[in-house]
Amino acid sequence: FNGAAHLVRADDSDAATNRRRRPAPPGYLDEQFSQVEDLQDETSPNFTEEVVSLFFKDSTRLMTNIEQTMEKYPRDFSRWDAHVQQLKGSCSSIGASRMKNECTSFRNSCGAGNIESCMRSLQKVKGEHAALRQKLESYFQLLRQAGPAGMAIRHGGM
Amino acid sequence: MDVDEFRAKLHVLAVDDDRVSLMLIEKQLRHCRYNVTTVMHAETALEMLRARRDADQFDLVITDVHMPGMDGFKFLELIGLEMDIPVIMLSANDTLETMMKGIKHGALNYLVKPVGLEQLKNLWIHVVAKHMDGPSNSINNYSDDGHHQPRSGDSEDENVANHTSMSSRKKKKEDGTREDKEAKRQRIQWSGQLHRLFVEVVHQLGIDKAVPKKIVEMMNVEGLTRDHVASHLQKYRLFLKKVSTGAYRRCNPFTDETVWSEGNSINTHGLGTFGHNLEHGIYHSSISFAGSSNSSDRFARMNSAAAIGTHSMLPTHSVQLMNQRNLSIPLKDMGSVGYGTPSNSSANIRNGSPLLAASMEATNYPYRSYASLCMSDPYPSDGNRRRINRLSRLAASSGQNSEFQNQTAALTRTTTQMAGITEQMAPFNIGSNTNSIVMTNYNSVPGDASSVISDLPSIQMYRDVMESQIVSGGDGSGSLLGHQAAADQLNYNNESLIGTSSGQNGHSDDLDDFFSDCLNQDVFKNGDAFMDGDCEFAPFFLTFLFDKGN
Repeated sequence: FNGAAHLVRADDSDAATNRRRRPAPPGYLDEQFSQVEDLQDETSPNFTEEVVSLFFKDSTRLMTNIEQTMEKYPRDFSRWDAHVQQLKGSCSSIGASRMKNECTSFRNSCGAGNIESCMRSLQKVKGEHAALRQKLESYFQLLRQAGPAGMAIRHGGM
Repeated sequence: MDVDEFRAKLHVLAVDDDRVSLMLIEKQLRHCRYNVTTVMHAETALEMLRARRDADQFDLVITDVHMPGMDGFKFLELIGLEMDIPVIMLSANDTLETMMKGIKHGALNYLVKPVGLEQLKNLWIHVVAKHMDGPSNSINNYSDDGHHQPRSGDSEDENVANHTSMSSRKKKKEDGTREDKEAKRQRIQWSGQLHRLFVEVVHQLGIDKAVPKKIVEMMNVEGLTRDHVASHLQKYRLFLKKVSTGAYRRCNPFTDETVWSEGNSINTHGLGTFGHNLEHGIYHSSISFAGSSNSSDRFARMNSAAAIGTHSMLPTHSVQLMNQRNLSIPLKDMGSVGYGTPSNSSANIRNGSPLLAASMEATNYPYRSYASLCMSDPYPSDGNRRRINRLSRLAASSGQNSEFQNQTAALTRTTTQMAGITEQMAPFNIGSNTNSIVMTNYNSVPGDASSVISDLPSIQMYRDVMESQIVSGGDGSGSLLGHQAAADQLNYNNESLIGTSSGQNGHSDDLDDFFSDCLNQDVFKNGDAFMDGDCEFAPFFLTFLFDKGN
């Protein structure tokens, strides 16, 4: 049922154990995402969603950048790498682990000077990006539906 | 007050070009109760830092590494040069190379993203540590022994119309605390790079002519005031003095990694900071010794680099400076160091200022004052003077007796374990006494320094001196008594030597030799001392030695 929740929590059925059960890596999101959620409080009740939303805006722009850079500067691997590094940093901030891993592999391809594998990596990154966006949108929707009770479950383990 | 309350007093500046990252770190820092300001560009951050120099300055800077425009390293360097604020690096980049680069550039810590609350909670420690551990503080500890020798630096401090009404002495004491905001305002971090520049300039001017006003003009670093330079100059001189009395023997060699690393940073990658003019001169010579990595070699490397490297540094730098009309220009052109307006060093000198009086006093420094800087009192008593003379003769004449040579050669061989220096010194001939030659050469103006440079004889003098120290058993007695024992011992063994060197008596008032002896003996003996906060001086005091200016 919980298309989004299982991204982070193995099973939503037991609030108390939610925190302890994590999807085995590489899940879409890692522990860092929980850290982000933990920062949410009364002064910023929508913090997580704001951060995630910002992430998707910026990462979309970054990926477009990367694509344009690859076209405009063919074989300029270090330039490509610089951009990917930026993207990777962003991913790690919100715990987007699969996407981050693809970025790492992209960087490796840049380091190896391998155009084909760079191209492939780019596609994979885009794919992970899209998948994650979908999952998180569902997740937030779910949380909203669950309402205050949902939030209580989320933070119940604290 | 608990930790939370303390953090609530601190103001952190966070810099990151990634909005997500910045949003997170801001939230996290607020969660820890810090006051936070965020900016996305290092240039903006710098402006803010500069604007707050006099009031409400940030306590801590956290910065990303890879940013478009100015990157974290450059940002770090500039903060180090211009203000004394602890900087923490934060990056997704977790490669050893990048992390080390961050530390070498002066970061107090390097956090790998994503960073957790626990790591941020304790960053306040760096703020406190920074204020306690500045290089100025270790000198202050040693200088509190009652010396009130008038020096140009002192009178500078006292004459400076300064909103703090503190005497220079009091200011020294308070440097290490946060009690006085105005003292804090004065503090500047003398990074390795900044200090090198300082020494370059002092050398250029000549130690007895290097007055803070001129130094600061020539250095041309934004935010560096004459006060900063005056106090640093004072400390530099104190340092030299202390070195000669072996006061640093008990220092922990490894307390200040950062400062030492600063030195290394220039060796390995510091092409930006000092600009192309100086690069080849400085780096070329330093790099040749960058190979060794363990601690004892560090010292050997530093001194050999200093002994040899700084010599090569002289002509390049001096000649180039002399090629410019305005001495401050080449320095200004140095990468990140120089800012803003071209300065007219001559035009800026005020007439009739205390500065002028001070500079006149400085120029009146006779050579013997160098030695007196080494010793406890500036006006050596007759007893001291005799000791000085004896040692002078010793150093001057040690090469002339073959028996002595054999003795010392044997001794120097056995000291290989003590310090790697002897290996570097080995190629140099024990044979001749060339001390006086060395001295005369350096009497010329800086522009002529190039003629001096191939000076292996100057290295020779180190060796002479070292030998005398070795004979005294290398027992760590850097005191004059120890020197005397060494001197006496050798004198006894070489009475004919004394006879033949009676001509040296005529040099009894030329205490340059002794000065060098003093410093060198303790350098090689107490090499470890250079690893602490004062080690930034170390590679350069040797340069200083030979600058007799005019």
